[in-house]
Amino acid sequence: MRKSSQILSIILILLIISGVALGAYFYQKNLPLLWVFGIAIGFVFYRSGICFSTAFSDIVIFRNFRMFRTSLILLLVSFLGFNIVQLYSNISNGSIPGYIFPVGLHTAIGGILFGMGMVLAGACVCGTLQKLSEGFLLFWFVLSGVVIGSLLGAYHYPWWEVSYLSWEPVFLPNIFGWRVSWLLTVIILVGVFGGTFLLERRK
Amino acid sequence: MAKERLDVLGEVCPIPLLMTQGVLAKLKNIDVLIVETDSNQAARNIFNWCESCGFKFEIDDLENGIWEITIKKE
Amino acid sequence: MKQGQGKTINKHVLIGPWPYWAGALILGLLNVLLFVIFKKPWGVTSGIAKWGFDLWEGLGGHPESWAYFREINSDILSSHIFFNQANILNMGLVFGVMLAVLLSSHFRIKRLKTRSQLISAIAGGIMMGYGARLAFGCNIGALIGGIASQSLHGWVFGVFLFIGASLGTLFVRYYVLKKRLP
Repeated sequence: MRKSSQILSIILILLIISGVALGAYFYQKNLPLLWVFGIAIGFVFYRSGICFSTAFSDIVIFRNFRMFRTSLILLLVSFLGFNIVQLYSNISNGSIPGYIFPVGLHTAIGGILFGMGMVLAGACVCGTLQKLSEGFLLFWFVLSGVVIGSLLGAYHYPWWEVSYLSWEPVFLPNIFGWRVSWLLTVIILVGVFGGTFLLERRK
Repeated sequence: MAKERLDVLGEVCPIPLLMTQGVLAKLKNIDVLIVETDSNQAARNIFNWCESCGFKFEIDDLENGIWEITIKKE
Repeated sequence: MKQGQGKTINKHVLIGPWPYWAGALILGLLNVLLFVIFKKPWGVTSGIAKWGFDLWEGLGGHPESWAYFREINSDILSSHIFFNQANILNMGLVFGVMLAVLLSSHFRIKRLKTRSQLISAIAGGIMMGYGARLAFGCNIGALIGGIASQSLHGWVFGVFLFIGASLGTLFVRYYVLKKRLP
C-alpha cells in the first residue's frame, strides 16, 4: 500500500468513526461509549494477535499451550472483575447480572459444532470480524455462513430445548456458596494454567 | 544450500503452519525454507512453532501485509 | 520496504506486535469495564443474530414468531439494525482493527485461493452460527462470559468446544497432508 493512500484511508476511517459516534449519540446516549470500547477491543485484538481457534488447534498440532494460556489470562481477569460486580449487585439490590443461561445437551452439541466450525473457518466469530477488516475476502463468506447458521439455530432451538435434556440456568454460587464457588473457579483456572506447563515439558 | 519457497498467501490458521510442517517433513534435502504469509496471526503461529522446535528462523515484516519467514534447518 | 534485513519486526507500540499476555490483560480489563458500565459482558454473536433476524424479515419471513427471539433474545425484536448495543460493539471492533491495520500499513486485499477454502469457510461459518445459538454465545459470550459469570453452561461449553476443536484440527491436518502438499 502506498504511503499517500494509507494516510488518506486513515483519515477516512477517522471520519467514519466520528460520524458514527455522532449518529449513535443522537440515537441513544450511551452508544458512543460502547463504540469506543469496540474500537479499543479491535485495536488490542489485532496488535496482540490473539486468536481463540489457534489456542485449541496449536495444542493438537504441536502441543503448544501459549495461546491457550493467553485465553486463560483473559478468562481469569474477567472472572475476578465480574465476581466483584456480581457480589456488589447482589448485596445492593439482590440481582445478579451476567451471562447465565440454560445448560443441557444443546450446550454440548453447540460447543462441538462451534469448535469444529471455528477450526474449519480459520477463526471464531470475533476473529472473523477481525480478519474481514484485515482484507481477507474469504471471511465475508464465513460471516454469511454465521448469519445463516444463527438463523437456523434460532429456528431449531425450541426443538432442542423440548426434545433433549435442558435444565434451568445454573448459577454456581447458588449451589456451592459464593466463597467455595470463587475458590473452585480460581483453583481450576490456575490449576489448568500450571498444568499446561507440565504437558508442554513432557513432549 | 538448497532453498525452497512456500507460498501460503491467503491461507489462515492453522493451514500455513500445517503446510510448513508438511513441507519440512517431506522435503528432507532442503536447508532453508522461506514461507510467505499475509496473516500476522499465521506468522506468529509459525514463529511459535519454530521456537518450540528449536529451529533457527528470521521474520521479515515486508510492511505491505506480507511476512516472510526464513526457517533454517540445522 | 525493508527486505532481507534479518529480523525486521517493528518494535513501535502502535505498530509492532504486542505480547499475548498484555493483550489478554487489556481485553480482560475492557470486558470487566463493559460489565461494570453496561451490566452486560462482551458478546459478539447476538449482534450477528440480529442481522439474520432482519434479513429473514426482509425476505418475507416471520422470525418474530419464533420462540427463540420471543423468549430468549427478545431485545432483538425492537432494536435498530445498526444502532443497537451488540452491533455497535462489533462494528467498533471492525473499525478498531482497520485502524490498527492501516497504522502499521499491513492492509492488503487477500483473495480466495482454492475452492475447498470457500467450502470450508461457508461450512465452518454455518456450524459456528448454529452452535452459537444452541450454546448462547461464541468463545467470548459463552466461554469467557459464561465462566466469568459463574454459570455452568460456560464450563460445559468449554469442555465440548475443546473436543470439537480437536476433531476439527485433526480433520484439517488430514486434509492438508493428503491433498495440499506438493
